[in-house]
Amino acid sequence: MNTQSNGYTVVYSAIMVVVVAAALTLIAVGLKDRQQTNIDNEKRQNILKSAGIAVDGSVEECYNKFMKDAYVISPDGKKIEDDDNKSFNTDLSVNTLPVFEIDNNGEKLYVVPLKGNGLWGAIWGFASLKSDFNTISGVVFDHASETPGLGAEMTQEYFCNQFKGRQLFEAQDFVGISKVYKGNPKDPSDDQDPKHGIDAISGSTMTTNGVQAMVNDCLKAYGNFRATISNGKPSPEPNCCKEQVEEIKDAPAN
Amino acid sequence: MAQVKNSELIQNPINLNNPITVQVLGICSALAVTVKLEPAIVMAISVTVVTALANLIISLIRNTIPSRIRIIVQLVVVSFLVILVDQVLKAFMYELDKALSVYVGLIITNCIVMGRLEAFALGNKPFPALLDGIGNGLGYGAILVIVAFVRELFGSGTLFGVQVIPDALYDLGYANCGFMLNPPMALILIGVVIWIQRSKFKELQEK
Repeated sequence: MNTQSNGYTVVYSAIMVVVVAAALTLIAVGLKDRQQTNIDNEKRQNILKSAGIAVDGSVEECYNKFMKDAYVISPDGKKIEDDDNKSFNTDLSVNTLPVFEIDNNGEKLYVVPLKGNGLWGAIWGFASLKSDFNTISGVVFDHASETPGLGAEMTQEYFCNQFKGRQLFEAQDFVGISKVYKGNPKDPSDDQDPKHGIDAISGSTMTTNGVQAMVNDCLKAYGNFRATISNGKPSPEPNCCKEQVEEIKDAPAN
Repeated sequence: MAQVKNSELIQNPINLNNPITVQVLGICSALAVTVKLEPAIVMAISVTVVTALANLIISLIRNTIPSRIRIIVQLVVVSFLVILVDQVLKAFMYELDKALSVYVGLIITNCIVMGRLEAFALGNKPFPALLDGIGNGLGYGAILVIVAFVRELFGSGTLFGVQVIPDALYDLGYANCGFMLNPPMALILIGVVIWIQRSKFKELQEK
């Protein structure tokens, strides 16, 4: 047959497209379960990491060992889903707020998912709160496309460590995290606002704004849930504020 | 075209006909993934697999391809292989896939792959084409490893993520060279490799 004729070219292209598409579909379907397991394990690892637990060995086993209960609550604080697996697979949305209860050697921690917008794309993470549902025990952040060396620094330990010990509520009112400038997050003694402040990433104002908004908006939504568990008791002062806290100058508007 | 020995097909691209330093192909990814050794090696293996298999497949069907859609057929074959590599990485090496993210998808734009398809696979038998693909992949990988080794050692003080520069040196005032982490440094290093290679192998120098 004439390989240069029009008819041959058209038929050849059609067959090639069908064969390649079919092969790729088969591969994608065949590998899908494994890929989903990897994504789920990464989520479990991040939940444990925000609670300060390093995974040793199998991620799934470690997760099952430390995770006591997973459920989903509605914005007014009521439990709407109690099954552990279904709660794990529920995405954070306006009406579904997942909560993961972790038992880290006797200490009870609440881990909640975070979702937000950075400068270039989505950002997300997990925040673990102490049993008063007010003091942050740890955070884990990830992003889709923030700038390496600038916005992408939000995933680094030195940035996440700042959140430890910060408080979100004053009595019943949500205060949230506020940005602080001109600090050195790598120097633990330079802590300008130990109760609510974090040092912004130099050169990444937009991303840090996004992180701040994400943490505040997502955790504020759990306010009613907090009321149901703490029964209105005021949260204790974190250890970092035992000494006198200097007056903090107002952060300039941005 | 003179008949090239099969063993030469593998050896030539590693040194005298190296795709990066002699043919000057595939520079872009050589800059992007050589910040650390581990992604560099995974990328080198991925490019070798894609180039070798693409060469093999195109060579097998070379007599059936209509010349008018030659480039399109090559693109389809390479895209198929790249997606295959990406899916396999996501399933079996998830952490590495996250580190490489967009770069795996960009293998299709790596000139080495298309360059060898045009220059060799279309006019040669399947087995030599396979060997040529492997050889060029190995040559590409060799340069990537050299550049990544220097960049990770001096830019992060680690090799494969393990710290090798002793703390004692840092205490004396030694600091990691941050510039090593930027792409221009990779270009400079490749230039140095080309310089050393041409000085040592005089036949590469133009008269």
